Amino acid sequence: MGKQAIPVQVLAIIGLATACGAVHSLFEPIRVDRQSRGFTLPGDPGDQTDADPADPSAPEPSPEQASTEADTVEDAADPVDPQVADQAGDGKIPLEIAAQLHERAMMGEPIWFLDARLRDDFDEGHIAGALFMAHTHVSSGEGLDELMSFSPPEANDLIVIYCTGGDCQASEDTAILLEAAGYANIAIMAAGFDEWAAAGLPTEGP
Amino acid sequence: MPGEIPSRGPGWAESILVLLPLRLGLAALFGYAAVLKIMDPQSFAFAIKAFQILDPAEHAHLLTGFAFGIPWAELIIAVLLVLGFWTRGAATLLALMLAAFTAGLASLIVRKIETECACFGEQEFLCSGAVGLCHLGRNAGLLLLTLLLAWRGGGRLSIDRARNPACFASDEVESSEKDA
Repeated sequence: MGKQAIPVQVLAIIGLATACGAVHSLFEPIRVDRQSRGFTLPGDPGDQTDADPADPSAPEPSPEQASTEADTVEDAADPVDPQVADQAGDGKIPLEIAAQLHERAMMGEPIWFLDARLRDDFDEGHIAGALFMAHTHVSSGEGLDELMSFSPPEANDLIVIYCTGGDCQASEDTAILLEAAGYANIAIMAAGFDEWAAAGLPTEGP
Repeated sequence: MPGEIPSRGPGWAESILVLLPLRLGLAALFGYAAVLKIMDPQSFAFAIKAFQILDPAEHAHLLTGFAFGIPWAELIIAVLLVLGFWTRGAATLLALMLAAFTAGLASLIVRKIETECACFGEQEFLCSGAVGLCHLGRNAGLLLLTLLLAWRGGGRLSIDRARNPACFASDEVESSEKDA
């Protein structure tokens, strides 16, 4: 086959790859965008959480959160207005709202902070009480098992995910996979960890 | 045709010392990368999304198509390069893909977007960390090697050679003239 056939060869390879990819996609569907960007804050009128503080089967705070739990939930910070929390309607919350939610999480409310950055970044420092949950950790099943052990999807706890902020896509990626696993109440912190730390908010790690 | 100088194909030395190692090396590299991506298309889809060229809300079908199509194209190219079958076509497509990847990486640097390359799945090849000049240089090097293969073809140890020996006829005539 001469040089004049190169475009034909290229097109044939593309066609074969497309066919293989199409068949593959039938067996292993993927997601590239979130189904919903809405979330309900604890105490909202629309809050459908099933968590009951008196229920022994209710999710327990993570060890980190339990260690800093306040005496009573009634001492929690003022309820957050969801309109204020998600001004842009894109499922993202500003730093000050995230800080209020974190304060409530530290008091034992069923709010979970997840760190979607790389493992090295997480180990260097993260939001106090946050769990490592990069999308690879979720897809491997390890992270998902860990999260489900104390906050199953049915509990509808609020999950706040953060990464490095700005153009960071990691939070979205983790949120997409958690949605696929059944978690529906997910908010993304618009600011990144560096802004959180720079604001003097609670952190853990070296 | 009378008066036409026949094009000269690669000789044995070039075929064995340059083209065969090049084919096998590129095939191993991109075949391995393809298998990693095929085993985890979700992560590769996120890697493409991180380039922030396609809006996932509007172009979800395109992102999904690339996430499944690119790894299979790499795998098919790798198999073709090992066999030396359609070598020029496979190398040309690989060069086009590398050029597109390199342009995408350059756009990340220009837009100051910090993300990982994921060019070889979760593995790193020569460069690590966020996309930078190292990744651009690596891809440019691979692009040059691929273009060399697209230009010279698979060489004598290839199915292309067995299917179309006429391309190498001028060499054999030359060799027999020397022997005489």
